[in-house]
Amino acid sequence: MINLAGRDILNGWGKFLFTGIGLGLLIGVTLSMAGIYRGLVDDGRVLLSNGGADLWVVQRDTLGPYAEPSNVRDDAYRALLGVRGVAEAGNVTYLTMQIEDQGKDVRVMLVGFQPGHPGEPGYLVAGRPITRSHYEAIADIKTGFRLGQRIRIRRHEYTVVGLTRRMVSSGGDPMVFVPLRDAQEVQFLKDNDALVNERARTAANPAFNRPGVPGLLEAVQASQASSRTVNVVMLRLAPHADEALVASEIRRWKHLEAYTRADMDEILVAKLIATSAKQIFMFLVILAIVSAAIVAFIIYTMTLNKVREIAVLKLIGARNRTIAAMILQQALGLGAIGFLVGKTAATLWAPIFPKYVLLLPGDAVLGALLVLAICALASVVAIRAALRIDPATAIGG
Amino acid sequence: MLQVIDPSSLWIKARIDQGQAGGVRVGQSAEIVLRSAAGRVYRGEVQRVDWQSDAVTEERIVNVGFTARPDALAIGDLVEVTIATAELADARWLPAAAVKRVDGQDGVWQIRDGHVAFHPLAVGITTLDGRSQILDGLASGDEVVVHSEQALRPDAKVKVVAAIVASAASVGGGR
Repeated sequence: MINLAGRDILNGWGKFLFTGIGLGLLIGVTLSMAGIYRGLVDDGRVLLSNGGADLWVVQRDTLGPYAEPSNVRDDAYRALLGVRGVAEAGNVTYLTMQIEDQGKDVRVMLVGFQPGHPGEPGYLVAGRPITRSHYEAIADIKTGFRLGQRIRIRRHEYTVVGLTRRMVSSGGDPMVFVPLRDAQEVQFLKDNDALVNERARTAANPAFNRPGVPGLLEAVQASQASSRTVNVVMLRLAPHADEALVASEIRRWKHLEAYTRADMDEILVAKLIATSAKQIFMFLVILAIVSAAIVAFIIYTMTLNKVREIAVLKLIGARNRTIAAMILQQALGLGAIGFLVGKTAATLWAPIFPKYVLLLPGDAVLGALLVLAICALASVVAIRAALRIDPATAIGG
Repeated sequence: MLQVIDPSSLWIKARIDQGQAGGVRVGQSAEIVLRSAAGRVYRGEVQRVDWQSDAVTEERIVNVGFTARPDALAIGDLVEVTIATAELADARWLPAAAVKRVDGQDGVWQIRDGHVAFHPLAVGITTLDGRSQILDGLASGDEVVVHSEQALRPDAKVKVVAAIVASAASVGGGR
């Protein structure tokens, strides 16, 4: 028996192919949207995993350091190392800022970390770790910085000695890692004008500039310019230590808040990026519905364009099953072409996106099944229309 | 009030992180770069290591003197000091990016039959240009993973490339 669907397609294969490609681009956009949504969530997740921490200790009653500002004294880590079950501790600061690179501004998250402690980048794609105690930086490759490049961050120049990848903030900004002391200075030290003005202001205050108390003014000014805070202390626990127990111990005795990885995941995914993720998810849902509707319309009109041919088939005694199979096969074929084109297009244009697009194989499989299901469903409507066609249309019209 | 300074006894007050200050001794040579003349390197020498560390910043205060004092020098200027603490004549070394710490143990990732495995090492000092001294655990000619596109896990399958980013070798040989 001849395949009617195949014959019909061969009859007008150009039209069929172009319809499939058009459909494919639409499916590609939908798949990319799913990828953007996954990428957004993944940006939050890698932020947690790339520091290599088990516990995040932040200012009490805050959801820091990513969702809310948090300040912790930078000597708090010593007390934390004394808590049972804590193996390593590292001070970390975060600051989102712009860095100028050849006349262009690059938006980065500046991370201050202690080499050899939790919070340092776990792997490099080029270069070496930071070895000097000041003025060296490791940059995410998305910043566009090169090895050996000198970048200016506030008042100092830093040499890029290493490159890493997939180190981003929850907003997708690439990270630049610098030694903790430098980062503290960047974060808390004011610019020169502000410093000079502040000095003058303090000197004009009679409470701080008293005659007969030498050294008081200098002491006050020194205390104003110093910075002894970090945003988070990252802890790595000893093997077999119960993280919930250690966290509750820190909450109870250290006047600090401690979050486990599960807590942080909840804060980042459920609170911090929740609105933007929902926004994109809503758009994804609408896009999927629109795509489904367009697929259905295309198949329906494709069938209606063949009224005469179907009527002829009926006239020569073709069974309803044969006609239904033809329409269903064409619909599924269109869906298959569309999905292939869409998947290829999404894969090809994913790396061009400025932010991370994560195309999961699971999403692709789900997408394929959905496309085929929608095609089958749409063909049902078309089949019903086809079966109602009067065979007489073939002769008189 | 007057501040009286003897220009022949000018010292640089260098603050060295305590974690790296262990090897600093009086008499070691130092390279000094003035911020006001960043292109030029001056020679110097460690003249005093302060007994009193800065307990708050956790830095040791090291006083460095110029071998030949530059003419244009202002008190309070910022300078960068690099101190040569130790000289290893014949050392076995690896790029520092290859040395990782897993469960408190230093080591490197090696490739065996297409899979990576962690190999513990005894690591000595790390130089400023990113070379880590290998005391024990690796023979000359052994291959290790230097750079990776993501954090490595035991038994992960890897594809070896010469360089992830152009102009940088990613698999280096132990020397």
